[in-house]
Amino acid sequence: MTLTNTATRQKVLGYGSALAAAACYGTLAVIGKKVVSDIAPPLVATSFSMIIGTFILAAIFQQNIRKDLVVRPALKGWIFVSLAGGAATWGVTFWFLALSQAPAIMVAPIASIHPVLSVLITLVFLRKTERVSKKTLAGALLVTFGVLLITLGGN
Amino acid sequence: MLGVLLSLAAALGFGGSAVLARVGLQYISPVTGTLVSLLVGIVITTTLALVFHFDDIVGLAAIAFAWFLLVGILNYPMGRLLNYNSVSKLGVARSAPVVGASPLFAAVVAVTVGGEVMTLPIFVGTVAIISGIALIVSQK
Repeated sequence: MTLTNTATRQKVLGYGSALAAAACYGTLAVIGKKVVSDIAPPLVATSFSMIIGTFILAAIFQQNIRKDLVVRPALKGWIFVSLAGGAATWGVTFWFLALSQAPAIMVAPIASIHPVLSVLITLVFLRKTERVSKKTLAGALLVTFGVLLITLGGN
Repeated sequence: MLGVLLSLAAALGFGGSAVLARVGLQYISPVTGTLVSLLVGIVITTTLALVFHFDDIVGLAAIAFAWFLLVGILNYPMGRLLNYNSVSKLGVARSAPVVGASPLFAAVVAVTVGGEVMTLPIFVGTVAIISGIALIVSQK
């Protein structure tokens, strides 16, 4: 396989994964609304679904995980993904706190700017690792504008 | 004002999480990265849930766990793993805006399955999201 083919494959897999993740999160928004309205408080639902999801992930990928722990026990990687997990939990917790203080019509559009924040943080802190083009920034702004319109239109 | 600040704090958490994951995923695989990030999340959310909602947890009906299973599968072994896989392959600047387009899919599910109405803002928003993603994907 040539270098170009490998790069194209990586791109297709990357964008395919991103779109599939967006589809999962989008469907989850519809199901999640039902769960937190009728079944359990948001923190309880998040906690239990996280525990169940972790067990399933560990069961499916136990060989890969075991191999990673033995062959590539990279402490730096562990620290940063732990921080990522903490930051995501911070996001969810503040999201619920915001919803307890303000209407969803105000919270959702403000919270939806996170892709632009990711790009801006990358621009500041990961300049050596990643190149952020004008096209990427424009695309991120367009997506955020669209998310904002859908959120407001849905309300 | 407090609501705005809390919403911004939420956005900062989500935005920062993707960047931190990007750094970590240079050293470990997306699968292990997802698992480690989830373990941290479990410790925090379970502690908070036990402190603030102990009575709700004790009183949970059996059917609730079926819903948690559905949410758990969609959110973590699927959503977060695919998200991390994408961050690892594309970088956070390209991946985050595409993953951030999830409200588009929520709108599609709500309109097609939930029978909700497609309004003008939702239509224009959909076009903007698709254009934004096309702009990002079209880069060499």
